Amino acid sequence: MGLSWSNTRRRTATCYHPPPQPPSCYYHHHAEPISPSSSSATTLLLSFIIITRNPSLSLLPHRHHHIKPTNGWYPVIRHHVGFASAINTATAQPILPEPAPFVDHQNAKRVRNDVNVHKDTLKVEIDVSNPDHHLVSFVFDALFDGSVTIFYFAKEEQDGKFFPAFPEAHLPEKISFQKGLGQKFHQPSGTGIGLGFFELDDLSKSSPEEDVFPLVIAAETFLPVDLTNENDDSVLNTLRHMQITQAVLERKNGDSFHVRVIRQILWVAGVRYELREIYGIGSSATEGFDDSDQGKECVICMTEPKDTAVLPCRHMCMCGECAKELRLQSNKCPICRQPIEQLIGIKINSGDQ
Amino acid sequence: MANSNLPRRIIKETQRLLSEPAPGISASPSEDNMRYFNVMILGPTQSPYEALHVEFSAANRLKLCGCMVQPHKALGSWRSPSTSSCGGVFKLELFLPEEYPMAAPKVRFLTKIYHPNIDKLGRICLDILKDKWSPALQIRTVLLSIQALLSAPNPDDPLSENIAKHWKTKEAEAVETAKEWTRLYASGA
Amino acid sequence: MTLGSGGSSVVVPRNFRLLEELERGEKGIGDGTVSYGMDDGDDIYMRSWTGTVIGPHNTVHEGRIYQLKLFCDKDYPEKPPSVRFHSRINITCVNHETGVVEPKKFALLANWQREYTMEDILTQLKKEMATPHNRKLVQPPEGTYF
Repeated sequence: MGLSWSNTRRRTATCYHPPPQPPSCYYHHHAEPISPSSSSATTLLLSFIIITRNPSLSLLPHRHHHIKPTNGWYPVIRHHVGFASAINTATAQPILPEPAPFVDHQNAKRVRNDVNVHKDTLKVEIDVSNPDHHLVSFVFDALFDGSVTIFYFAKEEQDGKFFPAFPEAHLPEKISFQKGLGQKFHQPSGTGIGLGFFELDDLSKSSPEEDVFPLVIAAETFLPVDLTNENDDSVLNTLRHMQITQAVLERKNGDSFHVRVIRQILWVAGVRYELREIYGIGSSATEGFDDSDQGKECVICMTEPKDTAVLPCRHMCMCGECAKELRLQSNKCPICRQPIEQLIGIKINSGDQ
Repeated sequence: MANSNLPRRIIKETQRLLSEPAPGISASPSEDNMRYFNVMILGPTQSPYEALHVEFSAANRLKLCGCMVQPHKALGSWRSPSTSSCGGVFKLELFLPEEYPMAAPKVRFLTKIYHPNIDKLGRICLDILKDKWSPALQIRTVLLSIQALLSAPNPDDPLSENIAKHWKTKEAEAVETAKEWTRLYASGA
Repeated sequence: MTLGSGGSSVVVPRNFRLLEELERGEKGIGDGTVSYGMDDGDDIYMRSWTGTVIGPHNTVHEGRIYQLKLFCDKDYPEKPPSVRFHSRINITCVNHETGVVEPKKFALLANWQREYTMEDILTQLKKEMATPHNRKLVQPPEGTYF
């Protein structure tokens, strides 16, 4: 085992475990809501890193589709489990087998997300005209037209499809939407579910395997498709963007429930990514770096723009050089002091694709 | 020499400390060693280290104390600008070791102070100066933490056993002693 | 372990250097034949120190406990501390009347460098006691002082 630092090569890494709830701290960053006048979805969309969990799928050839140096690109981490996936998807160069690094320092890649459910806005409320039933509502952004499907106790299958575990209680229905930012989604009255059907205990947690969640929201969009390709399934698959939001329902007082989002998953071009917020990315050097801007500079050298995040705590607070330097002396995140398991470089400046 | 290869971070921190001093805190590097700072901390209000209110004009006070780099900003957290004082001004020294910011700054009080977490030599028992140091902390945050320590003495984690015992058994009396010491030693003169 | 600047460009100021030395002295040094501590715990400038050297084996000094006074002025460690024996001793570098360690006859003080410490002085004095010209000199009675 040894330390290994690379800014240019990607390599296999140890399996990623879901991080604990991030601690509250002064770098805690929440994506800002989008103002109606905003022409971009990205203030919000940028606040994630994406982690693939499915090694077989991550071996799919990387497709360059509509890449433009614009807003809406996520930094992405593709996590390959084991050595089977020893292909560098960025440069298509084989990676030499080498000892697993103690702490992996890798670079993030970006994909664009066409649809995003604001997880902080997700609610279940009593259907006024049908008081036994609950309706889902949330705010979302969509760059293209698409649809939302709401599932209860849905099991995630390998291919990204979901099946309700109790179809007798609720049959999912696709609800279409048009493109637009900051839209409010309300589940139509009468299409809700009686949550009283389920045990409170079951509502408040996922299955032990983390594949069944009490509430699953699938939001998908389709790029406008050239008619000649309409019947080509693979193209369709490529163009489909789907964001899955998996949540549990916690009983508050009375009949009201609090929705706690556990995970968001993104399917882009047939690849599954997991979305995680990064704290501090919103004040990073997205719009160029000004020497006097204290929010964008590395907390250690206070000179270089910060471009490296710590996992599992997800604090983006350092430049690459200082991250290396820190690792020689400490294994604790400078912001929250949690142990560092991995470092990831995240370049957000547009135009470097 | 002493100031060659001074890391940019230290230069930046110094500039910011001088241009935007934290309320009630001033820190300026010494001329011959840019890693060595002269520090003044005003005792926080409603603490035994609080500045005593003497009827001087602000201008007089500044002449008498002669210590604040930017008096209006520095005293921002104080009471009205007309109240003024020559008490509750604590002198400290701070040094940035070679390993800084990977290692904590070294800080101590030069003004005598009656506080359970500060010893006779002015050494300070504060976790962020020891095992809880993080390179994300700065001179400014360290000094603010020390100022906060004056508002919240912690006799359960003492550096001065006698003072801590005094604090735990006869708090009112200990606070009086702290006030007396503030008056005697922290005049800022 | 080297206290102080140790060849780098970073200069540890006097007070922090003395605090380092104090902490090191409090922890105890080596085999314990050399030790030192501050005289006045209230003196924030840490000027007066007492050092102790136990006489080295196979010399006339063996088993004797020598007390010394060290004074670190404002210009320490740029300048060496003044050092004098409190316990009477007969060695070449110590003034017979006053007990002062004479810098001219003690190389460490004569060629003082900023990185040198009080520990270095005491250790070097112990070595001095064991030199051929000092190890057999007739000594004053034990327990007498300058």
